[in-house]
Amino acid sequence: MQRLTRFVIGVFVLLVLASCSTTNPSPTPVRTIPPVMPSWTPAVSPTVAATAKPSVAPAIPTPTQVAKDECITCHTNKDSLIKNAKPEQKKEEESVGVG
Amino acid sequence: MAPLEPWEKVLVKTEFLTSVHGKTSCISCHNGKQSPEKEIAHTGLVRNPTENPEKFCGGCHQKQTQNIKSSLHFSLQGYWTVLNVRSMPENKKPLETMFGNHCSKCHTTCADCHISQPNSVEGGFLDGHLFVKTPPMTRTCTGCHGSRVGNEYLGKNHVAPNSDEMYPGDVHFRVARMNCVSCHQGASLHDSGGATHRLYRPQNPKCENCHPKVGAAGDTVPQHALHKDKVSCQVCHSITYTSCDACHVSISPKTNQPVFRTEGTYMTFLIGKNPLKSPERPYNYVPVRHIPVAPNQFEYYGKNLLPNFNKLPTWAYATPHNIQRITPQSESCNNCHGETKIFLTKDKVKPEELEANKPVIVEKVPTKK
Repeated sequence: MQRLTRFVIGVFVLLVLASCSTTNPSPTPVRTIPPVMPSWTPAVSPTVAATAKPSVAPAIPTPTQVAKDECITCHTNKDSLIKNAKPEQKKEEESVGVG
Repeated sequence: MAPLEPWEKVLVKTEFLTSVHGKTSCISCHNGKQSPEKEIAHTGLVRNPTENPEKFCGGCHQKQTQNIKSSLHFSLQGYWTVLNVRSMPENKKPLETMFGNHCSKCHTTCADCHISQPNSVEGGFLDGHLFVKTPPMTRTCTGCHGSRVGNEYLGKNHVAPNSDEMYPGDVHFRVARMNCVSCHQGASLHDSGGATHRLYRPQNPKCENCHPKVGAAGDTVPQHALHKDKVSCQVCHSITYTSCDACHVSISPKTNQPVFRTEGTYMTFLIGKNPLKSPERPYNYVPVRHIPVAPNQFEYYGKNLLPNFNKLPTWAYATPHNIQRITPQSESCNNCHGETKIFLTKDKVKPEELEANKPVIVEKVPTKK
């Protein structure tokens, strides 16, 4: 009888613990798929450590990760560039002779 | 060279995006902002990051950039060297304004040779923002050095104003198909060795670099040994080239833009005395060409800005880029000896320029053989 009581209590405790570990399902969030970030890894990794330091510490441009590069979107699109181009004023050539 | 359409000047090729230089984001070099709106996207835009070559190029190209700022292409110091001789310190300010309006667009950055056409030909990508290792001759070099060097080298000078007949291009181009960097190699363009003028430094390139046997033992042309160190190679091996008269500059009252007017452009071949005699340039005679200067050419910016105009010749030491193996001078001794018409004698110089040209005027033409 005592063993049965222990077993029942054990099962009860397990059930309580199991119910605590799960969270109530919340409304399904609208998840955005994380954009694929461009990763930049040098094609050839340096094998020899540089010994000489440049006199002027150069600021090597670092890759900046953006989801969508608006610069590239526009500047690789001929139509977009034509649309956004400032109308060119026809220059009147006023200089005379060979420059 | 046909001008590029506005869109064409800034159209990036997709290949650029996978190239080494295309791996970084645009704004890491050009600033600006991420926006589909052009005005916002271009806020704080740095059009040409290579104005700061050490920062943007030096990280990987340290050798090429370490002295680039003092190179003559970048600094344009050559202009100031001669302006300073002809002018005086008090005139520096108006001359700086003049220079900014009319001369500074020849200032050359890394991008002006390796990414875009130079400003003087209205810019535009050479190849969709791909970096071009060897600058294309006719879109970069002769874009700036076109009216004299370019036309001579490529054979674009007419024999007479209304003639279809052209002077032949340089043999190094016509026959050997050499481009500018075949002789003027990158290292000499990236670093002028501290020179303040292209002629105030050792000859680079030198003809002898490729023609070491000229004038040396075993040379089958006796004239080479006879004339070596007495005349520059161009005296015998160049042909008629361009000279120009005064280039007057001003700001157009109509468009408020800088304009120029050259008084004349004409073909010449004249041998003068060498005004830059040195162990490196030991010649007695060199070709000379009239350069587009005049005492009053900057008068729009102030009176008498070149008070020391006569301190430098207006017929300048020239290195015409139209070399030929056979020329009238090389065909016969007496095509030069006793031939007054090909020497810069007093009668060929404008009276007001006689003083300035004393160092180059030939008083006595070498006698007939």
